[in-house]
Amino acid sequence: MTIERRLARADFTLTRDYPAAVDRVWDAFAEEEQKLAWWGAGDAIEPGEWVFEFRVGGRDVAEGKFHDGPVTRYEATYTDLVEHVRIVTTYDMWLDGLHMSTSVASLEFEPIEKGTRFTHVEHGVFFDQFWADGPNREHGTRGLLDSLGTYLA
Amino acid sequence: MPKYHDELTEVLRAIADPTRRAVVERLAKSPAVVSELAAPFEMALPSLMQHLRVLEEAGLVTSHKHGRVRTVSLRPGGLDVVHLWLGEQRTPAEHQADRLGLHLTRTTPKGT
Repeated sequence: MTIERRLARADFTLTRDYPAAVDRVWDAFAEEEQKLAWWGAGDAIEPGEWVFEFRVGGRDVAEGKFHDGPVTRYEATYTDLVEHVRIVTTYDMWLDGLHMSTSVASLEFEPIEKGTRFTHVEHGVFFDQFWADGPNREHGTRGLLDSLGTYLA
Repeated sequence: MPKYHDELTEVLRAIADPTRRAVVERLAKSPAVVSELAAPFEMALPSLMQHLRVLEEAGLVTSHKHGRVRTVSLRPGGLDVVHLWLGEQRTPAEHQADRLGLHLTRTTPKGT
């Protein structure tokens, strides 16, 4: 099978207000135990390699396997950290060893009256067969089938 | 999968119509008898009955006849397929942000 070489670029901004103080939100990223508690795809995923180095130049790895599904691998480098203000990473995603994407992600934490405004801005380049929304759709479909199983049970 | 998607299509078709949506909104509050349902809409009873039939076929409402009075109610879980579908259309970043929110809710003591 020949691989069609192509690229897609995608930018997005995601904003959420969390009813927790900035230091609490920050700790959810900065403390390994906390990050393990929420990062990743949840119970649907069987965890694999995990590396956590929360410092500038440090590397994060999170690998996981959807039951009977593909192995996803996230590998990031922290490029900029300002405590309680921002986290910037560059990261790559792989799906069963195939390079999916390279992204720059900036996470900003801003105190607001009711807690924290969290802003996630991302710029990504998606490769070849992942150029459209292939991987999302594949995961989405898998999740859909799982939820459907639950729903029909 | 096809079964679920057919069901989704039918539900979305049913609630695409503003009148049927208004009926669903009304029934979400409480069951109602047909004449009571028809009152706010400027339409003939047969037209309303037609809308109710579409809603019933999509599994969104059920109706029971007591004597000469037909009561219509919302079927619990009838809209679940829409929820399911919407939930699956979230990007990984949205899922992650939701999980973070959940984690913070679980671990943050009240009033901090």
